[in-house]
Order: sequence, then C-alpha cells, then structure tokens
Amino acid sequence: VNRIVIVGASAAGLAAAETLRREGFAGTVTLIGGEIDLPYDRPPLSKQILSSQWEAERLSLRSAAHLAAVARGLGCDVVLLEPAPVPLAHAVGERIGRMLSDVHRGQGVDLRTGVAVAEVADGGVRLAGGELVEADEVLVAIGSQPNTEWLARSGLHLDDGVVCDAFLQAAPGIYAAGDVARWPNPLFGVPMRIEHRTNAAEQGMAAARNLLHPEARKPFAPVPYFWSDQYDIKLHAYGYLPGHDTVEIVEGDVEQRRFLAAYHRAGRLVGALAVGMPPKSIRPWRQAIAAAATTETEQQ
Amino acid sequence: VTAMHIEFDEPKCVAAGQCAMVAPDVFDQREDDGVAIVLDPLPGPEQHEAVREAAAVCPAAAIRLVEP
Repeated sequence: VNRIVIVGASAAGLAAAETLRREGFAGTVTLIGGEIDLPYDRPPLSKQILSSQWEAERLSLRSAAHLAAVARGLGCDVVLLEPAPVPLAHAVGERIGRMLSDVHRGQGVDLRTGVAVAEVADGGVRLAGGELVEADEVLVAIGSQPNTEWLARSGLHLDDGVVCDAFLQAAPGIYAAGDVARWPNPLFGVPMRIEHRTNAAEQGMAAARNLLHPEARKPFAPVPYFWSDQYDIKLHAYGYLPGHDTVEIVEGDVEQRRFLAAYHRAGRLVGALAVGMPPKSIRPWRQAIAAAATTETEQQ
Repeated sequence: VTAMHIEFDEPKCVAAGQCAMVAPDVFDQREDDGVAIVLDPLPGPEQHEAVREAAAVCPAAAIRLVEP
C-alpha cells in the first residue's frame, strides 16, 4: 500500500490518519473534507458553544432534549415537539422516558408529544393539524442520514450507511468508520451504525489498523457509549439499548432522578444507564456488558 | 526512549471515564463527579499505546499528548 485516501475529515477521519502514521505507514495519506475550515471537534457545538452563544428564543422539532435543556438554561421559552408519545422511550424505556419528560416540563419546557409537523412556516412551525406554533428561532433536530449519495454507483453495498463486515471492510481495499459505517458488532450480534464521537475515534483507529495489517486484523467489537447533560442531571449509557425487552432499576430510585438501570434482551445484559449517579458507578457495568456478550458469542 | 507528556484540560472533561477504562494505570476518576484525574502525567513507554487510545476516545477531546 502506497497511497491511502480518507474521505471525511472529522473525528473518524482524523483518528484514522493519525493511526496510520503512528503504525508506521510512510506512504501518502490524503484527507478530504467537505468544509472550508480545518478539522474541528463537533460535539461541543451543542454541548458547550451553544450555551454561551445562544440568545434568541429557540424552538426545536422532535426530540432535542439535550438542546432544549441548554436553551432553557439560558432563559429561552422552549417548545419541544416530539412525534413519539414518550420521548426517548425506544432507547431508554417508557418509565425512564416519562421521567425525563417530567424533568423538562418541571424546568418550564412546553413539551408536546405525539405531534406531527407539516412545515416550517413564516413565524414558526405549522403542525399537521394546521396549528401554528410561534417561534423566533427553529431548531431542527430530526437525526441525520449518512452521506452516501456520492457512492451510489460505486458498487459498494449501501443500506442506511456503508455496509461493512465485522472488520469494517466494505470491499477489498475499502474500509468505513464513523457515522457512515454500518457493521455487525460481534459483541451484540446486530448490525449497528453509531453517531457518537467516542465511537468515531475508536472506529477510525480500528479501520486504519485493519487496513494496514490485514494479516492481524481484528473484529471491531466496542461497547457503545453516550452521555448527555439535561439541566443538572448527567446521563451516561453503555451498551446497545434499542431493542431491549426489560429494564431493571438495579440501584437508586427513578423518582429521585438518581438511579442505575440495566437493560436486557432475551435474558442477556445489553446495556446500562446511569442517571444522576457518580459516573464511576457505571464502570463495572460496562465490563459486565462486554463479558455477557462475549460469553454468548463463545457459546454460539 | 521517547518522552510523553499528558496535558489535561479539566474544564472540558465530561466525566465519561473512557480514559480510566482504556488506561487505568494513568487515569482515574474523582468519586463524586467523575472528572478525570491524571495519575501519571509522564507515563512510561509501556503505557504509551493505551494513553494514545485514551486521548483519541475522549468524547470531550480534553486530553492532549505532547510527544517529541
């Protein structure tokens, strides 16, 4: 290998480039980014930068709970429009989703659930029923689609992302990492596509190593992680929560907004969520998730 | 032998604890709020790979490594 091109110059692309050099690759590395500026770290845009720069009243479409919390903290009147009956229920479960709804309402957020939006109109947002929700600013937080249009005729397998094998290989000589990669995580036995900063870096490093050392390549088998600040409550989650069938409160109390929840699927531990707990308390759970999944993989 | 120096930007830390999991001999977390603690700002060569991994996976990009 003499020349490596990395398309995408954010967390995954940069981690891959750095890893290639660190692993001794002396050929040409070309990093291609869509933006004019040099690579920068994006998560602080919503988590910190926003909190010091926002002034105007904000309104968000769908579940933008984190941003609503930031805006509310700045004294804006916030209306949060959410299509599901309970925000985040698909991920954290209904009971905890309700608790988070209560947190927002308790902070003065006008949370409207089960609402369909028709359009962003003059002066606000038009709901499907015709009502206009007035707003000076509208924040659209409806998730993202992987940018794969440019690969449409490449021959790569595209299905909500670039479909890879467990080694992150999409085709001979082509690997994918970050938001765009869909791969079967051997720890959980399901295809995943993860839009989190920690994963992007980890996955970029793994893809670079596998690309460089095909003889020693390893399946990419992380325990996914995400965090969110909602007012004074800190959420940390490990594992893969969507698709769980049971939620068990293993420590603390949901009503006290201080608890640790364990998520199971088919009797197997697949995730843990800590809300308002000392962050260290969730660490043994991460290990337990990895161990539970590994045991299952070995038994197959 | 290469030296490595860890610069930790504490106000950026989001208490994820990723660093303490990847490099437990070099990073820990405070008990109450989980903010990272650098146990060894000048880690030995045997720790370098783990420390680089810790810096890379930090969700807040709060760990900077100075390497010659």
